Amino acid sequence: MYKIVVNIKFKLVSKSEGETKKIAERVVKEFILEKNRCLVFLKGELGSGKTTFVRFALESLGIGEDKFKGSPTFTIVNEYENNIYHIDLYRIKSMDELIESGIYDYFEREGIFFVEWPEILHDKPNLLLEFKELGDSVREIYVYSS
Amino acid sequence: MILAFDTSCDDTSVAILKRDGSYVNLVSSQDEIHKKLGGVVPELAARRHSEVIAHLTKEAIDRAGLGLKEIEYIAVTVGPGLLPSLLVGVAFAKSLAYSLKLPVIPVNHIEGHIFAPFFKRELKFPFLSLVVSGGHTHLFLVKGIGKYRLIGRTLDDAVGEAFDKVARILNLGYPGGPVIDMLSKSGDPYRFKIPQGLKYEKSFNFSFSGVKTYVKNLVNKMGALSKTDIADIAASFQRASIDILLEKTVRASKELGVNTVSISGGVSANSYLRELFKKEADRQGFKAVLPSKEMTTDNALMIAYRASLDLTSATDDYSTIEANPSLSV
Repeated sequence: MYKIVVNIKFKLVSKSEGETKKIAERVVKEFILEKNRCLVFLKGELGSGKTTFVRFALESLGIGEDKFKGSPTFTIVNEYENNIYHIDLYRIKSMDELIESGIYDYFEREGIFFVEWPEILHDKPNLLLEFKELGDSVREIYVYSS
Repeated sequence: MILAFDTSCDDTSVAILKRDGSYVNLVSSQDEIHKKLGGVVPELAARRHSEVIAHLTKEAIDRAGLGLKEIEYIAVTVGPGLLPSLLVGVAFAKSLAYSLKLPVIPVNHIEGHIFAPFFKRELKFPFLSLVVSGGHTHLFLVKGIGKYRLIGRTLDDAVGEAFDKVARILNLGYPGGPVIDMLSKSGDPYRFKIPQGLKYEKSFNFSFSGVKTYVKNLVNKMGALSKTDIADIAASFQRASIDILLEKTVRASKELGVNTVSISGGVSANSYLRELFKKEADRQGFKAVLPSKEMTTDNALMIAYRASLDLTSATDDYSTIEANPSLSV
């Protein structure tokens, strides 16, 4: 059984890390769980909360804090069990560089991909999350699903 | 004599370590090497590693004034790192070993960093090892070769990443470490109170993700920044982040009763860190060990050195040598 959700867009507001954690749980449950392949894009400025969100989403997927490998900005790809990937394309300048680096090959696999700074990709995500930091730890998270 | 390779991330590095301790250590991003190879190529490309590695190897052997016949072991980084990049080094090392009929020593890149400060120095256990770079902020208790206990780490961004991102917010370019270090010398490190993640938590864990949000908001609020403002932000950020690293590391050494403390990785090149670390060591009576500048960033000499500490891990069964991007210590 699965639900078909077309172009859902809604806005969630988080006022604390605790609330972000609940939002991440909800997003994982509604849009990511039980999928063989799910491409999740996370957009937003530096410090808008993308990595924190992924940390909580991974926790909902059974990867606890002790197994979390931290931000992938430097490593680019952090691989986890059950074909879960946390990818950060911040340091990659172009699609050519992505292909030359061999990193694009990852996207041909099955699995769940959390991709920060996905702007250079031409692929269409299953889920797009946009983060806005409004100060005083208030964040808006826009959710688009196709 | 050991010939070693490291292709775990951006740079390709080849080193030769002789039995008498003399060495050659080449890194693809070194200016002279860069010029020799010519052209501008993407920084981050597995293909670039494969184009560069053979040239670097030949250059290293020429500079060492030796022939291939004098190599006794081949050492290679097998992880952690970026898989496509690691594969290049591992495949090259194995092919060369096969053709020269030499044993291969697989090395963990992080262990390379852990031991780098002890190269040509007395190595005595136990010691505390803080590894700080773009990808790591990890504190280990090292009881022996292969005996490590992770006692603290970053829960989010690595400290080197925080340097890069603050530099980006201040429009200072990449990488951020050297330029922030330089600007901080003329800045006021007490002008801004930059957050120190998990400062009041008893654990030895760190958190640096709050820093970039704070600096970004600060910059937005201040509007047009003068040169003084930029230097002050850089200096305040540098002081806050280095202070928390040292504070927790020194506290760990006291609580665990460990008298030797080392810091390595790219951020250990930071001049404020080096100065303060030595000062604290004198004041608090522990032994501070820092790598030479050349050994702070990713390089193959530290891989050769780590390999030399345990030659029994050398093997002729190449099928057991595999790249593992998620390798831990």
